[in-house]
Amino acid sequence: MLQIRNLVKTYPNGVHALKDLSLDVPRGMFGLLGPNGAGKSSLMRTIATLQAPDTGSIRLGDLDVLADPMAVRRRLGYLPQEFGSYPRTSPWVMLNHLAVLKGLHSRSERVDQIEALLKQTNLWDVRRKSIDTFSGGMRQRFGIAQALLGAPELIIVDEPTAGLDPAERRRFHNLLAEIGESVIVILSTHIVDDVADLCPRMAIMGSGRILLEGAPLELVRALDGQLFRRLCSHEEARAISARMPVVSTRMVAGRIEVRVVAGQAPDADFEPVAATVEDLYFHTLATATGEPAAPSSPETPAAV
Amino acid sequence: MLEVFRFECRYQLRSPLFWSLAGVFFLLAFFAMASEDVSVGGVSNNINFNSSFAIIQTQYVFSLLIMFAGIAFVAGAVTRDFEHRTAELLYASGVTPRAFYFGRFFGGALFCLLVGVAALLGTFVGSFMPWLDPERVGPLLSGAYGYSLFLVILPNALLVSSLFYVVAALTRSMLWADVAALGFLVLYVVLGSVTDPEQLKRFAALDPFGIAPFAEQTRYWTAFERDEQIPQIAGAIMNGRLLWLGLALAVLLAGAARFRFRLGGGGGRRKPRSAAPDRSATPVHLTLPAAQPLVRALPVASPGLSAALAQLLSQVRMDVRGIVRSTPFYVLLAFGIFNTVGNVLGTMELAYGTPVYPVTRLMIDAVRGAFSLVLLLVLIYYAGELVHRERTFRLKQILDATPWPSGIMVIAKVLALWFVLYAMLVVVMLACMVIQLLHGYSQLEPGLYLRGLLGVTAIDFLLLALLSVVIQVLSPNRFVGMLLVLLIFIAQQALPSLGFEHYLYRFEVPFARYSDMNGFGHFTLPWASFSGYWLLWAGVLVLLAHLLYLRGVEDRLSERVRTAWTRLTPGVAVLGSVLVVAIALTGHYIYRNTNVLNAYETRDDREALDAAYEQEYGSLREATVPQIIDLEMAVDLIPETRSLRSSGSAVLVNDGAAPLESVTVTLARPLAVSALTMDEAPFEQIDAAQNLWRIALTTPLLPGAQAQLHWALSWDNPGFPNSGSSTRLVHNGTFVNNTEIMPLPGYDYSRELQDNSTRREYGLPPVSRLPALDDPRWRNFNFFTVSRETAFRAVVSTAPDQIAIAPGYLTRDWQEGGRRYFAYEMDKPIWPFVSFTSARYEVVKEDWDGQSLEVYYHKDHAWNVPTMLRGSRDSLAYFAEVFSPYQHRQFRIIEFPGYQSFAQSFPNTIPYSEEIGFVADLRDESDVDFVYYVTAHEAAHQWWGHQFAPARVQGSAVLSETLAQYSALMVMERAYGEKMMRRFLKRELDRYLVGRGGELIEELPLKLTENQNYIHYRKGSVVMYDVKQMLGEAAVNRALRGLIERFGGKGAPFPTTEHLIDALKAEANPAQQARIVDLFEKITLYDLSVASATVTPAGEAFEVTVTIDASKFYADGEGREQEANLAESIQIGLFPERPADLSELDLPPPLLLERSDLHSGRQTLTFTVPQAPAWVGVDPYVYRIDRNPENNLKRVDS
Repeated sequence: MLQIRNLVKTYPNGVHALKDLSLDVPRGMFGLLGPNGAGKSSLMRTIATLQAPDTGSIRLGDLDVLADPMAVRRRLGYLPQEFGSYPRTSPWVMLNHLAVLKGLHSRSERVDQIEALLKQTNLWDVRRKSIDTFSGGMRQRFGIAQALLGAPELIIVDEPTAGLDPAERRRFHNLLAEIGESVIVILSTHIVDDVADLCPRMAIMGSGRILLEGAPLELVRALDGQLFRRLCSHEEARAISARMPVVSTRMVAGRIEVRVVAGQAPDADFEPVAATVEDLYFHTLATATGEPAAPSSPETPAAV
Repeated sequence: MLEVFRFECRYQLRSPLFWSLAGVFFLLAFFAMASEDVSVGGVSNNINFNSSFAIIQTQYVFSLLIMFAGIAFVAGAVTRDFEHRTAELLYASGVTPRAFYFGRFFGGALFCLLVGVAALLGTFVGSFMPWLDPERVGPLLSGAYGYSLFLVILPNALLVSSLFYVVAALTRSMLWADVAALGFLVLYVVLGSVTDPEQLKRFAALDPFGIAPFAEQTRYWTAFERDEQIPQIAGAIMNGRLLWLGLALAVLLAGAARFRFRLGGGGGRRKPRSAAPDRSATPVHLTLPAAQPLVRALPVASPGLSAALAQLLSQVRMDVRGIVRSTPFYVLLAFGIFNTVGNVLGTMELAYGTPVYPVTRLMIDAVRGAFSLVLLLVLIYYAGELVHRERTFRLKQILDATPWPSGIMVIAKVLALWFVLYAMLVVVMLACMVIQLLHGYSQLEPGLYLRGLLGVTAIDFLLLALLSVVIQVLSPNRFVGMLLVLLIFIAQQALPSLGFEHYLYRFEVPFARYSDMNGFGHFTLPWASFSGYWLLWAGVLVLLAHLLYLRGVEDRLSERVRTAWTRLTPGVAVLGSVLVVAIALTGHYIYRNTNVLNAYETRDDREALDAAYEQEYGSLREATVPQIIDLEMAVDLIPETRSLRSSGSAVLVNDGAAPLESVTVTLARPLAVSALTMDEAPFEQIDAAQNLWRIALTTPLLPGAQAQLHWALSWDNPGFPNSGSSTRLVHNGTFVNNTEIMPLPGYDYSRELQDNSTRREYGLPPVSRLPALDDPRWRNFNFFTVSRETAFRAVVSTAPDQIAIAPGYLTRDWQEGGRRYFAYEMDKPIWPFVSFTSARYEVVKEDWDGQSLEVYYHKDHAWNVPTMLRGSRDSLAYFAEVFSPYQHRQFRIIEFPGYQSFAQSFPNTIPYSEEIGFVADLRDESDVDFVYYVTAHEAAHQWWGHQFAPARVQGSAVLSETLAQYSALMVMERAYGEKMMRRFLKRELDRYLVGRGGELIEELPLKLTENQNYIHYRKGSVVMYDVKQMLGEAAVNRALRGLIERFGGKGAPFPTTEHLIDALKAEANPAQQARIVDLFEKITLYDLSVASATVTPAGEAFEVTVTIDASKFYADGEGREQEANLAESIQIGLFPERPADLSELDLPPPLLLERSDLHSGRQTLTFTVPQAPAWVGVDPYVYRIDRNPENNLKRVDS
């Protein structure tokens, strides 16, 4: 169990990245959902011991993360949002080096583990190729391989699927799902489906705070019977958003679908619809900020 | 384009880098001008602070440093977007590649230029500072500033900007721009090592920074010219500028043609890498049972030493791997080799172009000399590169989240950087060995390379490398880090001249000098002690970096300090305490050596002491000094501990007209007195700091009366001093003279400060280098400052495996108490100036014509011993034939360590430095036989100096040194012919003309030289050879023989240059007498040249018409010239073919060589010769002093 208590972080330029944030992360996959700038990466870096909060505490089991970062690093796997490698270096060499840095001492066990990871991430055939030449998906798989070195108890994965094609994303999800059984995996993302597909528990973050936390299915259930949609034209959509808070608008088959949350259907043109994690996400953000989170201009689809 | 340019300007104006760099340049230039302690580029004390030469030279040096600005602003501008990954945005913004290319370029170049202008401004402002010695501030020279701006700063800024810019734009890599910068620097260093004037002319235009042509043009400038003259913008200066600017422009345009907006590798130069195939193209499915963990949990090693060591090794391997796999590293190594080879080949020669054997010691010195700058830049550069490597490759976050102690990364970077340094040194070492083998020198000394190059030379760089890494760890970006390191280096260089000389705080290890004879000798202990001391400090620095290492992204200092506290574990604290204690212990040990066992003295302290001596005891100059007429010494040398005991007695006689009431002796400062008496009455110490002793005589010493001076002194060298450790008393190769180890009555002239600026600081009058020629008092004292010869006996003891030598003949030689004793006795009176040498010698003896010729040499230095013997034979034979018989039965040459490079003539004894002839490579017979020359010169001093001792007045060195030069020339000419003379004299002329420019006080005519080497040696050779050509060898020798007959072996009054000039004039006709006046009594310069020469057939013969320009100048002491009327008969030569080697004046046998009467101005002469000449020359062999000897000869137009 990872316990985060009252984290506050203000950057020198005045940005309040974390505002008294508390969160419990149990074993298993944990999705951290939030728009860009919500403070996800700050939180991830703080948990990954790469940045100290102004105040607050983090405990991993009985470990004080902030007081003993070394001990945490020994149990940590970290896949940052952006990473590279030494030039002209193969995954084998790179993993071996990182394994030594992680303290994997015995050469034979290290080799076994690297071999297993390379096979598992389907990089075995390219283990001698330079990482510079990898495609985005291969690179992310390498990233997860290095994060898994040394069988960490806590794995932090920051925006791993951005820029991946659907097949790669699927493959990546499978990999994550496999490891998410026995350890804590925090998956930080702004892609709702990643969380919806993978995580038994999740939290939604917005402007440095946890807005909502729980099991996705239960959370979504809270919206049951309150979500309505309507297909309409631009002018109508504009009129609706002027009248009531809109959860999201998007293009569906050339028309605009407007979704709203309400006690009952606002008018006869609205029809009830089953809520998804995405609805929950937008609704949460909209409620927190008082503004529709999803772009209401139909020209830009609200979410991928 | 303007938009990009404006953007660039705004960016740079906001960048702290620009302001800090400009500030640094301004301050450095300011201090170079306004502080007497900081000098840039070898501007000497004889010219004004704000002289034209000083201004321009300073700007040249700073324009070298502009390269840093070029890298940061220009190369930085073009690579910035790639490094910050904003290139896509930029490319999408609608700027055309061309506009981007030129806009960025001009923006960067402008700021590069501005940094140079900041330096010029610093110079300008500095020259107005009120504390400058007003004697040395001249008028404001706008021409010099204009020249600096338009011919130095502007072209160099444009040059470095465009070249680095193109390299960076096309490769998208700062690294290659850095490599280009280093390439420039190496080219500059190699060209800078060219000292031969002919080669300098040839290569001057190739210098990218234009320094070489400037140096070439100003080579012969006198102080006066350096103060006010601006170089002519023509010749090599113009060609070089045009050449390099043209090249820069061409490269810039070519770069523009190839520049594309493309991400990653640029210019289409790099071959596309094959992308790794991704065989997992189909979606994978869950393959493992969910319950089974993907990877088995491994026991992650607990933190500990072995884990840390494994992490360290792995990181070092990764960093070294990254370095050795990058092309620039090999380019750097190639530079290293190029630089070394260039420098080694350029410096492996003695004064007259004679090559030396490439002994390892000299190779290491050459590498040290030229390679240091390259190593410094490499380490500054690579420190930034290595420390910020993880950030550059976006690996920092992953790496920082793994469990290694932060210090591991610091140490890994240090080790990787050390690897780079050592790789360069090893490559250079191998290059040196190859050079040695190619020269047919197979005595490779890997052990010496190891100690001298990889140890002694490397240590300062290892320390600086470590410091650079630590600074980079603490600094926010690599440019700031590089700048900081550079500043620290400059501060380190400046500290000693500001009076902070102690190595305990200079982060530097005192250099251990090496001599083949003495090895590293007594320099080993201080070197090792300071190395240990600073390596311990290095440990502290690493700990500090460990604490403050930036883990992750936090950049605020307060955060880092807070983190540092959490990293301050008991282990770190204990290690830190251990280091601090160890530092305290070694520091204490060193302090005890440098400040307790020895006195810690700075240069200022010594100057103050010398100034006080002159101020307080200057009156001693007027005192009557009793003369030594019998000298008996017992000198116990203890080479093992570098100690000696000196005792003895001397009979003093009052040579003056008045009774002596008291006698004062000045003892060398390190001497301790156990007994010092006169007629058994003790002296009293009246000044401990000056070691001055005095005795008030109870009964005055009457004129002609004698007294017995007795002494027992000791000189110990306990431990080691901070600097200035004596190289006279050493483990193997001691060479001291009696003035250092016995009491000498009277004033010690050698303590007077020689630099007039320093003297002014202490309120001393301008230096009087020698008494005036007509000072009647000094006619009675010769250049040894004595008036009487003395009998001499000495017993010298030394270590059992060494031979100790003093002037005189060996009368007894025995062992006693584990020491070896030698008793010497001179059979006739000598001047009381004697040497004591001791070393493990090989000895060669030869009986020749009743003389014993002997050479005492170091076992590995046998090469030139036969030449020395031959030189001794030929010299003694010639001098006995033409001057007078040799006064001794023995002639001994004795090698001493190369801490000093000279040879010195004592009675029948010539100490001869290992540096100046023992390692000369005489295998090529066309080279000047330097060893033969030095031997002949020193042999000649047995006559000119010992038989014939000049009065201690102006011009005395003419009678000793110039006549020894003349004598040596005659011996050489007999053995090697006239051609060798020209080779030799051409270099003498060059050295004279260069020497004039470095004159600190006033150039004097030869007759009045005041120990000015460039006059009495260099000009002296040229003048005497000219006189010999004019009067003939027999006439000159007749005159000299007459002088010896008149003065030789007699006491006061002693001869002066007046006597020499009179004797020569007696052999001359009136026209020749006028020339002798020009040569000896004036500073005369000629400019002779052939303007044109044509040949027309005239029947069987050919008529040659030669147009000659001739002028003659008299110069004053500062070099101001005045045209004089020339009316002399000067040689004209017609030559059948092109000279084989014009620069060596190697001319073919002339068709005609005759004297013609020439006058000032242009004149046309005609000659009729049977064969058509190809070349014509006026004074073709350059007997006259001519600053442009090359235009004396010209090809005939047909």
